[in-house]
Amino acid sequence: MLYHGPVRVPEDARDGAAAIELHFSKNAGLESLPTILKVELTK
Amino acid sequence: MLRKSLLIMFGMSLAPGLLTADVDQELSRIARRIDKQPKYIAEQPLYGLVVFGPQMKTSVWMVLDKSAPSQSQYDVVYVDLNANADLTDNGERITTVIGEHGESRFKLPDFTDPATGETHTEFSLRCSPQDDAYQMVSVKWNGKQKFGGGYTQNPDKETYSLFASAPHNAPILWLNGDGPFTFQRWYTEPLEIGRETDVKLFIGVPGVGPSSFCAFQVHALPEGEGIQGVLHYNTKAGEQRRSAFALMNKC
Repeated sequence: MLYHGPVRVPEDARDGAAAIELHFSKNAGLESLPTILKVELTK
Repeated sequence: MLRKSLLIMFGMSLAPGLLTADVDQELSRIARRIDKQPKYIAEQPLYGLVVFGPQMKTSVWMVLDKSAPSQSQYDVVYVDLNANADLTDNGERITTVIGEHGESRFKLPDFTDPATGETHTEFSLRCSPQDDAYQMVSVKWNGKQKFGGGYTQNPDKETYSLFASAPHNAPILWLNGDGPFTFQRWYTEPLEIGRETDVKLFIGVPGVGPSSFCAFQVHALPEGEGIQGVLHYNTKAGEQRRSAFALMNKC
């Protein structure tokens, strides 16, 4: 029931607050609300 | 608020259409009031509110009670199956047998939403033992896909949804398998710079109160489909950057 996968944070990223923006593709058959989740980047 | 501040931080514009903030506002407007209640046996009945459908038009109260004052676990639930805010109607007192380890599952009648006409099957309320208390609601949405909650983001730090001691602070669990949907992380560990972090997401809808997110309890997307994402971050030089990813695995 969970979807998951690797999210790579580039080497040049600064640590601290960042965000991930999420949505379905056009063929998903489901509609998503514009969603942004706060994430923390760490060294 | 958080969404808006993040958008500003990363220089993004607001997308048209329904926003998660709008959904939160709609949920906060739902009245948490019961017109008529039975006389409970438990010293402290526990209250939860389940709201059905994309328009949030149907509210179904659940109140946990006990069959006898000496009973240590909640083995009775009153469910407002006709959504009229009267818990004294016939057929709305449902009992269960407490399991060996204190857990219980109330099997509830199929529920037809008067607002949509859709019938949701396998309606149930699951309660954990008292020393690790939580209550979770589930249906087979429109008889097709299991949908329920409420889920925490951090199971090591907080429990799943908890019914409350009074209606006014009851959690609202929104059962809506029609969408549109949003996402919630399962574990919110930081993402490591220069490395890959396995990010896990529920697909579902928010609720009101801690651990109130309700989600598909099956893999709802067609085979080969996943969740698309963009990481918005700042570089050490202060530039805003984006990095796309796709979450295609299932567990």
